[in-house]
Amino acid sequence: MEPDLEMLRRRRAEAWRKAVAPYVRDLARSGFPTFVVLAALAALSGYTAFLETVPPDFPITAVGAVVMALLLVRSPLRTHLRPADAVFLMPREHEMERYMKSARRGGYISGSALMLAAWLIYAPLYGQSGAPTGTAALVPALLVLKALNDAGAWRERRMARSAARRLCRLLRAALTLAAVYALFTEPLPAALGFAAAAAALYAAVCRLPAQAPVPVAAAVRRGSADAAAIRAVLPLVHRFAGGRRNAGPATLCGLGRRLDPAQPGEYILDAVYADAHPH
Amino acid sequence: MEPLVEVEELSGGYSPRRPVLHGLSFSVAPGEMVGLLGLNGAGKSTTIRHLLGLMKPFAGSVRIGGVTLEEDAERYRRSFAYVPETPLLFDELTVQEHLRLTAMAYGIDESTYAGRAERLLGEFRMTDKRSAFAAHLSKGMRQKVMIMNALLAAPPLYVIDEPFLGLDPLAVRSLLERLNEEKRSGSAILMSSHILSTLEAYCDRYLLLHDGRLIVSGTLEALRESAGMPGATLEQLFFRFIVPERDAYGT
Repeated sequence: MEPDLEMLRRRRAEAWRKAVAPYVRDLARSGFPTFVVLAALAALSGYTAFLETVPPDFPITAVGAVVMALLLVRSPLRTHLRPADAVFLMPREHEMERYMKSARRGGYISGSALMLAAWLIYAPLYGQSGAPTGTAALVPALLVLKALNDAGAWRERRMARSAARRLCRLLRAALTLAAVYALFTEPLPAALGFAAAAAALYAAVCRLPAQAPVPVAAAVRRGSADAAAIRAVLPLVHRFAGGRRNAGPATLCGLGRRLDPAQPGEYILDAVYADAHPH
Repeated sequence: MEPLVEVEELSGGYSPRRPVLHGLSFSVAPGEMVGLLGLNGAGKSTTIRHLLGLMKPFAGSVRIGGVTLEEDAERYRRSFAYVPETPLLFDELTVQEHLRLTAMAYGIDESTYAGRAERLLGEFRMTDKRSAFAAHLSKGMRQKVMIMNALLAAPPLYVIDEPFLGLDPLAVRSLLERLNEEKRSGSAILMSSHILSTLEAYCDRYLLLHDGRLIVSGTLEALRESAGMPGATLEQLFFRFIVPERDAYGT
């Protein structure tokens, strides 16, 4: 009976999406998308006008470096872990790396997508900065920086001491900002060399603090807080959408739980132990 | 006999600048039931969290079954079952599915699982609730499910935090009888509780914590001797040891 913890995470993510989808649909049917589109058009128009008359002293590189560094350093992890996992999956903690790997992959994809979207918006401004490297040539470098940042964030999550975690995060943010600034201002080989040296420095310094094998307990705490925040927001969405869905907090308590109401709870057992049929 | 739990000079907590535990050392041998006592905030739950490997010691070590978590995570984790103070269950799983999940996590074979599950459901009067979702159970029943899951695993060590909260008298009796049985079969039990009379009746030894320090430990007789109170109850001894400490630390 080999547990498939990666599948468990996928099933939980799927259950979560299914539970949230009706509220998103309600929001889509409300006036909110129109408002968002109008706001985006207004912003686009303003940005286009700004691009035509960028003041010569506008700090294009500094603004871009800060924005991109923030998106690179930000590394959310949606694990879908639950408080009961701390008891029921703990005997399998040594296998939890696979579960977390799936969550980390998802985090990298969504984080990179957001970063590339920001890069796309910033690119026209970057083109006016007289930078030595082209817009497209920086994309692979930014994706590598994102991967390195995600790896660093994972290492920080495993750190047993919050002070060490905070210090390493601060160091990572500073080095990322410097590396992005170098990419925007220096020739690519030199900038990549600097980024590699920064990554090596971070790895050397942040190798020292004590680490937990897999941060299950911390991830459960964080996951519960995230889920609670989303549960708090969804009734507002429901209200904003004109109250079409007859849902209140009591209904929302069930969010992210059952995948298929006809097969209560089966998904946890089947997902963890794909070849086991207990009944 | 090799101790099952060996805690040596354990200092730990949430921040090294403000450690909760200060140089704790104790051991628990197979076939022994040990009571972990102390006021609220004495460090009982932090000690348990360190034993479970949920916190990393600032100094010292914790060994279960002869290994630390770093040396052999799989062996360490499978050496114990944990019953938390607040029941933690999956609301969408039934009682029986929880038992099944535990059997899978501990690698218990089908026939052993079936026998143990039936027995536990009967002992804790949960047979007719086997198909009930955890979300629909009362707090006491949820606690029973936690306990049943721990007993199903039949590990070498049970770590039990305030097990009696919410349990009806019959369930308390079933639990204590089963723990005695597990003890006789060689398992060790570390149990934290404020119900001193029950601990006195069932535990072999006691660890008394105050402000993260182990202020006294031993059998009831050893505690009486240390306090100079022959024939004293555990409750009397508890106050005898705790009150001077509380005055000394001003808490």
